[in-house]
Amino acid sequence: MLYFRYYLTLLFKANGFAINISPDPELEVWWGTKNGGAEVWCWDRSFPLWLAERIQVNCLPLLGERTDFSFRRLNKELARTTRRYAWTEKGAWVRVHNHPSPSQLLSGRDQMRRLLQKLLPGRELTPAELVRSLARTGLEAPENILELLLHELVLEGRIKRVAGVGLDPIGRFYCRRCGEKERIYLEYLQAAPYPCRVCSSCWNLGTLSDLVPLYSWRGETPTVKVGSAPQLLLPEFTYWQQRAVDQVLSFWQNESARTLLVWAVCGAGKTEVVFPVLKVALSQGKRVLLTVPRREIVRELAERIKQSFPGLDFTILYGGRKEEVPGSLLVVATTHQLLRFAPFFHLVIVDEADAFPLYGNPMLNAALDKVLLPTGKKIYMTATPDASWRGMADQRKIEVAKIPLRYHGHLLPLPLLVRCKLPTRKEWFVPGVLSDFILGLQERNRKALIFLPTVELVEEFGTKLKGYFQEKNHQLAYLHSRDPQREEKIRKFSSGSLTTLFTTTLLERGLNFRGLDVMILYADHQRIFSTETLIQIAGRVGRSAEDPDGIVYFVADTVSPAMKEARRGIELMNKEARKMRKFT
Amino acid sequence: MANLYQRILELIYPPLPRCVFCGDSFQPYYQLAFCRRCLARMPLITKPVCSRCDRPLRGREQEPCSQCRTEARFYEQGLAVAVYDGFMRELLHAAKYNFRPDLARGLGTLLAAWVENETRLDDIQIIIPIPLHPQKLSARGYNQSQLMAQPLAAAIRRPLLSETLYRVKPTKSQSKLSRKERKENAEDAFLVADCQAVAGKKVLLVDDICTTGYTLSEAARVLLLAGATGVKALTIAVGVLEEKWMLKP
Repeated sequence: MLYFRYYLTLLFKANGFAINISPDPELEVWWGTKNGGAEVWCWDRSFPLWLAERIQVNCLPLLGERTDFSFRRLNKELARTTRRYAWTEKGAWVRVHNHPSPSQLLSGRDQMRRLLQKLLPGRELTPAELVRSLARTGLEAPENILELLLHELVLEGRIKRVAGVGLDPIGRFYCRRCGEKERIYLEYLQAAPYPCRVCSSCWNLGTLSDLVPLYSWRGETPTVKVGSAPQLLLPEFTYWQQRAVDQVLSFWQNESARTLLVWAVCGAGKTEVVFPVLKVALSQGKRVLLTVPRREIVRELAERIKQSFPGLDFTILYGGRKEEVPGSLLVVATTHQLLRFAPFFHLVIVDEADAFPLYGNPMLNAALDKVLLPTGKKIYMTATPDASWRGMADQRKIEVAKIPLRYHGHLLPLPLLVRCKLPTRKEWFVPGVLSDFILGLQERNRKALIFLPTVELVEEFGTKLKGYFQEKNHQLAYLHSRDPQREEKIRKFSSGSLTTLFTTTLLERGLNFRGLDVMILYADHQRIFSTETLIQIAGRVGRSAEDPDGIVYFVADTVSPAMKEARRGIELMNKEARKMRKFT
Repeated sequence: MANLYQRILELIYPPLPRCVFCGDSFQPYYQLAFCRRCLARMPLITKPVCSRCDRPLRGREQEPCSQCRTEARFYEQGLAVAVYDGFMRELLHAAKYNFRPDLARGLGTLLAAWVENETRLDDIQIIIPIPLHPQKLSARGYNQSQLMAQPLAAAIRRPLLSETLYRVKPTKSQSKLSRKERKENAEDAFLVADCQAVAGKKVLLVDDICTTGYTLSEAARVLLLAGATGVKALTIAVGVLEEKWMLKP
C-alpha cells in the first residue's frame, strides 16, 4: 500500500473559487484547462487527510465571488485550524503550472474507469480493496494510476473521498468504517509522512488508519433495467408457511412498517418464507441484502438461492471468497462485510439474527442500520428470539410472523438429559454413553454431530478417539473455526463419507444434514451452551420429511438451568404445535 | 452524562489494558501486551534444544541439530523465543501483512519479558534489527523487526541502531523459496552504513523468523567485516526442521 500525500489546492474559475484536496495538484491544472481554464494554487506543504478535510470545511464560509476573495483571510483561517490541532509546519501558496504527465498516465484507462463506476456504487472501499476487486475481474491496476483516476472522478463530483479515521464534529477521532471511538491509537510509522491514527477494532477487514482514504459513490446510483421478474422454483408451502409469506408480503407493501420478526421453530422452513418477497422486491428493481452472521451458512444460503432462482445473478461476499457481479440487485454476505457498504439497500433480511457474532455486537448492529436506506425495511429471522425481542413483540412494537410448526408437520425431538461422569483435565477415559452412541450409529444407519464447548476439547476428543474408533470402521473427524479444511470436512460429512464429526458451536445452526443424531458433551458449560444455543442444536435433528425423528442427548456432570429451560422451551413449542396441528 | 461519569471513574480507576491480539482486557503481567489466554496458546520453546541455534530437537534429531552440524553460520549463537507454528504463525502473519504495527510491538514485549531470565545476552553492546528494503518498507509502512526490538532495547538498556545496517538488494520473500534459492537470495543483501558504530562491539541482530538462518548469517557476515567482535541473533520464532529442510548426511 502506498501512502499518498494530500495537498490543499485553490481553483480559480470564472465564477468563483473552490478549495480542494488533491494527491497531485498538476492533475488539477490539467483538469482545469480541460474544463474551461482555471488558475490553480497549491499550499506547498502536505496535510494529513483528516486535517485537510477539517481545513476545507472551515474555509468553506469564506467562499465567495472572486472579487471578494483574499489570501489574507484564507491564511488566517488556515493558521487557526492548524494551530488548534497542533500542526506547526509553515507553508505558502504557490501557483501550479501545467504539466503534461497526468493526461498521458490517464489515457487508455477507459476500461478501468468503467469498471470503477460499476463496482463503487453502494460500497465504501479503500484503494487496496479496489485494487483487489479490480484484479478479480482480471484487470491489473497500479495503485498510483488508480489514485489519479479516482481523483479525476472526485473532481467530476462522482465519488467521495474521506479519511479512514477522521474527526467527528466535536473533534474526536473515530473510525469511518466501524464507528469505533475508544480504541483508536496513535502510531508513528517509519514509512508514513505523519504520525497516524489507527483503528484497532475492525482490523479483521484490513486495518484502517487516517493514511488510508475510503472511497464511496456520491452521484446517482445507476438504475438497473428490470426485465421480467426472476423465476422462482419452490416446493409448495404448508398452511403456516403460507400464512407467514402473506404476512411478509403485506409488511413489504405497508409504507409505515419498518421491522418484522419472523419467528419460526427450527426446521420450519423460514428461509424459504422470504423468497416470495425477494422476488417481488427484485422485480420492482429494489436492492436487497441477505445477511447471515456465519460464513458456512452464507455458502449454503447462496446454494439454496441458486436452486430457487435459476438464472439470477447475485453477489456473494464473505471472508475468503468474493463473487462480485457488478450492478446486481441481490447481495448475500456475512454481517462483517456490511462494514464495507454505504447506505444502499431497500430491504435487509437478517437470517439467524440471534447468532454470534451479530447478537450483542454494537458494531455489527450499527452496520446493519448503516447499510439501510432511510426508507428501507428490515426483516429479522430467528428460531430463538431472546427476551428483549419477545418483549417487543408482546408490546406490538415490531411486527411478528410466527411459524409454530415444522414444515413436515412433525414435532421437535425432545432432548434426553443424561447425567454421567465425563473426562476431566486430569483424567482421560472414553465415556460409555459416547462409545455406545457412536457404535450404535452403524446399526441405525445414521450419522452424528457431537458438540463440545471449546476448541481444545474438540482437538483432544478428535485426536484421541480417532484411533480408537478407526479399528471399528468408523470415519471420524473434528472441526473448529481455526481449521483450514473446514469446508471440505463439512462437504464430506453431508455426502456421507464421514459418519461422526466432533465440533464446536460453529455448526449449531443453519446447516441441514440428513439422518442426523446429535450429542452435546459438557452441556452444563454455562458460557457456551445457553438456552438458545441448546435449542438450536436440538433443532438440527429431523429436518427432512423422510426422517422427521432423531436422538438428541445433552450429556453433563450436572443438569444446568439452561439445559432444563431448553427442554421446557421445546416442550412448550411442541404443545403449541400440537394445538395448531389439530386446528389445521 | 453517563459517559462523563465513566470518564471521572476512569481517572480514579484506570481501565485495564487490552490484549493486542484478542482485545480482551486483562490484568497486566510483566508488562506483556498479551492476555493469559493468548500467552497460553503460544508455542514457546521447550527443551531439549540445539545449543547453537535454539531449535527444539524433535524426532530423531540430536544435539547439535543436523543443520548446525553440516553448515556454519557467521553468528555465534542463535536465540529464539517460540516455534514458528500454529498461533505464532497467525500472529507473525498478521504483524507483517495485515498492517498491525501494534502487534509487532506487542511481540517485542514478549522478547522483553523473555530476556529477564536470560544470561546469554549480558555481553551485548548494541542491538540492530534486520532492515527492510526501502521499497518494501514504503509498501508495508513499518519494519516489524525494528518495532519488536524497541521494547527489548528498553528492557536491557542497550542502544538500538536501526540506521546502521541497510538492505541494498530488493530480495524476494524467503517463504516460497527452496533451500538453495534462499541462500542465493540472501547473498550480498546488506551493507553497513556506519562502520564506526559497529567496530569493536558485540552486536545482537533481531528478526522475526529464522528458518534456515541465511538472512541472519549474511547480515552477521557484513557486520563482522565492519569490525564487530561478535554477533548473536535473536528471533521471535524459529522454524522447526521439517523433512524438506533436513540435510542429508
